[in-house]
Amino acid sequence: MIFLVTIMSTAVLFIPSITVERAKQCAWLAVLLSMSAGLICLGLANALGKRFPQQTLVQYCELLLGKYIGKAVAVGFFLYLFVVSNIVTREFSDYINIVLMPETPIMVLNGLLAVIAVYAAAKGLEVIARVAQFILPLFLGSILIIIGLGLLEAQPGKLLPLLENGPGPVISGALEPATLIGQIIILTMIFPMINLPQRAVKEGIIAIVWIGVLLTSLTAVTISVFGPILPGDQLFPFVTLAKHIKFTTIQRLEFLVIFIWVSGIVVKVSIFFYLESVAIKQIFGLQNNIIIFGFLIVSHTLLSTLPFNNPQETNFVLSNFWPPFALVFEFFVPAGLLAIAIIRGKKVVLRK
Amino acid sequence: MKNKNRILALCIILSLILYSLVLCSGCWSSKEVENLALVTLVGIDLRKENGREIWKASALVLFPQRAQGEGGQSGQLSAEKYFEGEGPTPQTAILAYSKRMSRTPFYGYISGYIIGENVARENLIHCVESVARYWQTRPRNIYFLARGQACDVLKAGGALDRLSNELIEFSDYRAAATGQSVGVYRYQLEEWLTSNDRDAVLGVIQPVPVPEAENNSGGSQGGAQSGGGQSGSSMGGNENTPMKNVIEGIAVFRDDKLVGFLNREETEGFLLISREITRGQMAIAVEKDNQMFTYFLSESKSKIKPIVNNGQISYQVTIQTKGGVNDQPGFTLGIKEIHELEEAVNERLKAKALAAIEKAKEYDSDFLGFAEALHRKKPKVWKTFGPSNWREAFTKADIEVIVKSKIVNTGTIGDKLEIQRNPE
Repeated sequence: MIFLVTIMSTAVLFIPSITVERAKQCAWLAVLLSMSAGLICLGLANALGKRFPQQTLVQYCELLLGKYIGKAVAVGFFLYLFVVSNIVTREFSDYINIVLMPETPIMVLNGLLAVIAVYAAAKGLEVIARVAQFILPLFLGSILIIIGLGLLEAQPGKLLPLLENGPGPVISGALEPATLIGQIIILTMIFPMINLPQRAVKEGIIAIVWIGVLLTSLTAVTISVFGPILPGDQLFPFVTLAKHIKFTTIQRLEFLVIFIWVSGIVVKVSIFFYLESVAIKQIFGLQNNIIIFGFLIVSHTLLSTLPFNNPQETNFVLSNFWPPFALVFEFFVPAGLLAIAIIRGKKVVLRK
Repeated sequence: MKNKNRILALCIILSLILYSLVLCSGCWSSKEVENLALVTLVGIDLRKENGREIWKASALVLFPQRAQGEGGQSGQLSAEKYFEGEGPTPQTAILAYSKRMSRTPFYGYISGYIIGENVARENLIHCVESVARYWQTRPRNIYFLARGQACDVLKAGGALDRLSNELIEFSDYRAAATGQSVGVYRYQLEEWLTSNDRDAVLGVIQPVPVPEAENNSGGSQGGAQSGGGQSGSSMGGNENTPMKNVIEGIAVFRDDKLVGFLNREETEGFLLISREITRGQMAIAVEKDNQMFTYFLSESKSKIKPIVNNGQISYQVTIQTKGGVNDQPGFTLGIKEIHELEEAVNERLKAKALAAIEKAKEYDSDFLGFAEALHRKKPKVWKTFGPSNWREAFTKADIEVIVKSKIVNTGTIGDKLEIQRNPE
């Protein structure tokens, strides 16, 4: 549940635009392809979790790579979590600022999200999981309503021709959704806190399949309503789709997107804040919650506001710098750690 | 440790309460409904003075108390008030009329935008971009092209209802059904303008003088009331001539430039080829044996099939329609006769479709979707034309039109009403 809400909350708004820009009418194929990246990352997280059932990734980094290199990689992984939560905070305020509250300063919105997320993170993983459990049916229901009503006006012909320019644009379009779905790597930090790790993997696979199906269908519906070019030019095609729907007296469904977005982002940022606090404690040995959470509130309020002047700059970073950076910590670092663990003869530990 | 956690929880809860106090009232973006001016329709015009663009924005603003009727005089006054402003860009022109309003203009309930003819010929992109970027616009906002100036359309107002209501009703239900014109939503225009295989069209609206008989019988409710300190007349055109708006015909674009218009015959041909009609009331006069009858087209769908033979591209358009005949000069409507009438209908509809195709070739604009069909079904052939010559895939091709119409309704009379004819 946490994985589904965490990944879908940002993907639902940004993926159609990014993938359509690159893969045009085949964007839905790109999304489908990116699912495989999620499964690979889940496989890596599972393999590492089985070998280090009582430790998080930042802890066994030091075990496998030694004190200094291990610490450096652990700090790198913390930075990965930190950058994700900062970008997501900025995406949240950009969306609210553009679509809902244009006169409200972005810093106020960022600060508000940071305070709410810290409140949830301070309460612990179980509280965040319960929140995710509560919003999941409403979250999925809202997405399905928009996709279902959007289908009524879909023209499947707009999805043709298939693979017009070969597989290149599809692969390129799959890169960013892959980095988003690859965020399932946070399982490496959650593994020791779960009572039934075997179920976590099963739930992870179910979450990835759901994410794949939902993202593929909403991208396909968006294209078959607005054509293969227009969604690529828009910042939030999913919002445009929700605004477009008119079925008898049912219309102005963007309130559902607001619900999906706000509730999902709160869960996502909360879980990242929680993991960041765990990472800070384990890497730096800091135990004072006030300092840790105070740092997270201040840093996110400032860092998600100051570096970007407009959504185009956020998108530029997301398109050009984010994929390689994310790929390092979602794939290469876990794969490297797993390879070293295997070489060092770390065996799979069975947990009841 | 417990104390520290309590302090942390207290700090967070206090910050949340403080934030809520600010945000629950809508924060900086709060809007009180009594301070809003609900804009229902915007017109955008363009002219050049000394080589510089001067944009003119006009708006109709809804006044609820007028809509309900003042002092029992419901319908005597227009519920929409007219404002206008000018500036070097569309936004400055909009702000110019906004400054004269005592309330903040709100565009969340706007029905659409009327584009002046000059905008469509000179700088459509600037206008469409401005509308698309504005956060309060919706994909289902309607676009119409004004023959002449958009502000004249807004001044003339609606014929029976508010102009904005009439345009919504026309675009949602009556555009294709009546065969008069086409209703184009904002997202459709943007989709066509960004497309690399199809040109755009827009429905045409034009203010015309109200016929004297209609005027005397009180058929017209008069134009929108001028507001905002403007000296402009409350009616379009001549100060003393009451005007009303007529939606008829289609404006044709090539890329972002207006290149011409379709007449009624060509408009019906366009609708038959490129729109699916489901609840039609399209009355088509058909001739058979030197006598006229009416085919009420109620349903229509079409298919464009690209055919490539030895490098030669051709298209086959198949149009299937259903309709009724209950306005006829005394034909016997038996099974055999109905088939004969269907043949006559086929010929008539084919002529309309061919007229639209001929016009499209004349304008070198593929608004009917032939290149789009080729692109989707035969992408390799489409690619050979390149990004700037794709219209040749349509203009140089042979097009065959096949119409299969059916008469499925002949009203409440059987074969014939046996009226005695004068033997003269």
